[in-house]
Amino acid sequence: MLSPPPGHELLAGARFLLLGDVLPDLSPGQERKIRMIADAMEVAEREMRDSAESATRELRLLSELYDEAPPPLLAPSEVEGCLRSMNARLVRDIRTGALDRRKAGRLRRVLLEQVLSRLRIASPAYLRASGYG
Amino acid sequence: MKRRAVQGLEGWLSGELGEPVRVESAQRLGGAAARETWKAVVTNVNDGKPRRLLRLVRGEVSPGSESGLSPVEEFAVLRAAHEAGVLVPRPLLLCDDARPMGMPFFVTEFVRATGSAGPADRDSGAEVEMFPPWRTFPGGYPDAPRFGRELPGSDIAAQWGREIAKLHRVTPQHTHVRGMNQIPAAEHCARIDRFRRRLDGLGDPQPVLEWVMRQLERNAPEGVENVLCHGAAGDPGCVVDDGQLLAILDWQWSRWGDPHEDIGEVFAACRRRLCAQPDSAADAAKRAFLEAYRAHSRLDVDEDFVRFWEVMATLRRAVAALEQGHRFVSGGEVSIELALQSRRVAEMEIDLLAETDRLSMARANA
Repeated sequence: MLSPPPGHELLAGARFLLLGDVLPDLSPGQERKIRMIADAMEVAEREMRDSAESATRELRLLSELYDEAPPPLLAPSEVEGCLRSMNARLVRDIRTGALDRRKAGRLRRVLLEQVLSRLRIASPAYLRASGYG
Repeated sequence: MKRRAVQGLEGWLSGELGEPVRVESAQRLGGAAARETWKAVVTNVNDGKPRRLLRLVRGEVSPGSESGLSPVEEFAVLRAAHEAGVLVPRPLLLCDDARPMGMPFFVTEFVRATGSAGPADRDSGAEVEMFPPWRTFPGGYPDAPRFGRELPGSDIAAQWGREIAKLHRVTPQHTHVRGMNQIPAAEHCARIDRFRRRLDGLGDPQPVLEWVMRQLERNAPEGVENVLCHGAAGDPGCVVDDGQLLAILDWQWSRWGDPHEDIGEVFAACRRRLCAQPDSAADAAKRAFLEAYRAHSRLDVDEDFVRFWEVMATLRRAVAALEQGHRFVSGGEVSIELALQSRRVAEMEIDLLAETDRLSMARANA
């Protein structure tokens, strides 16, 4: 058990300090870099907060696509490997056209959900601008 | 430039120009040119006049590039484009012999931009090569409001549309470019295969991009006349001065191909930017480009074919952005900017899903 605050809140605090206290004293060239660093921190912050839930949802969707039972409760370290292997299978099936007819609609929904999930972490503003979120 | 190369250049130029010349200075130019580009000032040894300002391009395109032209081929393209009335630096001389400068090179006039150069450049009196304002990050979307990138101005977009239309008048029968290899009809398939290999090489499965490639394979344009394409029309190296396009500089990616490809490249570059830039600004630039293109072109524009190539261009950017992310992870290039570009591939993917849906729908309705 880690001591509080959790990592994502620590990052949020650091970003707040960076933008509020450090940024105003910098030259325009440095300002751009600091804003980029703050952007990176913000992405990491959202990922630390949301990625476990997002991965579980993706595993469930992929299992549904293949009419299979969702994998049993996995340790966090196993989730990434399981997702990678299911997505590798999905890539193979898309490439060979195995899903072109029978499951095209479901596949399209899974792909959209994968993208939305990544956008929620990497770029929520773009998500909103695209009419989602 | 090394002294030996300068001497080789002086000897060769003197022979070609029929007067003894001295290279007063040779300055390597930066920018996005994929091969060495130099600005050289030469004078007549006898009377010291007139000064000639030349642009010299030599060497092969950057290592790792896929299909760049050789200097000999690029010079042929430049001549063809110049004859078609496209705004290019006037092609002057070609040296396909490696002896004078260690590698083949060609020489063109040097086009100056003066009015819109930054204050430091004006003060130093330097000639500045500028890029059109829609220039984007390599492989990714610019973040206009936060990082100072701009959308294409409609005026420049219209001028660009006019020049691309003029370029597309050049067909494989043209005198200067007849020798260039014909691109096979299924070139887009080969390109998709290359994307697949690059993605497979990264090791992270990308189902969305795989689906996009599948849709491209199923909805490829057919029966389109091959013309001379710029090959990087969304990201051209140009000289722009006070809102006027003066010259298109880099032609190393030119090839025979579907004219819709160049238009799709421009449209992909104009794609909507992150939220603070309204879609209407990008749409205005696209409309201006297309209007000018149609006004100066003999070809019909099929908007579904344009969409196909727009998707292809965005796909290419997505693949490149993922590669940048992998370079960051492997420690090859520690750049937060590149890492962020990789994380924002999802932005391209959401657009790609929407565009490929339209592509499939258009094919179904055809």
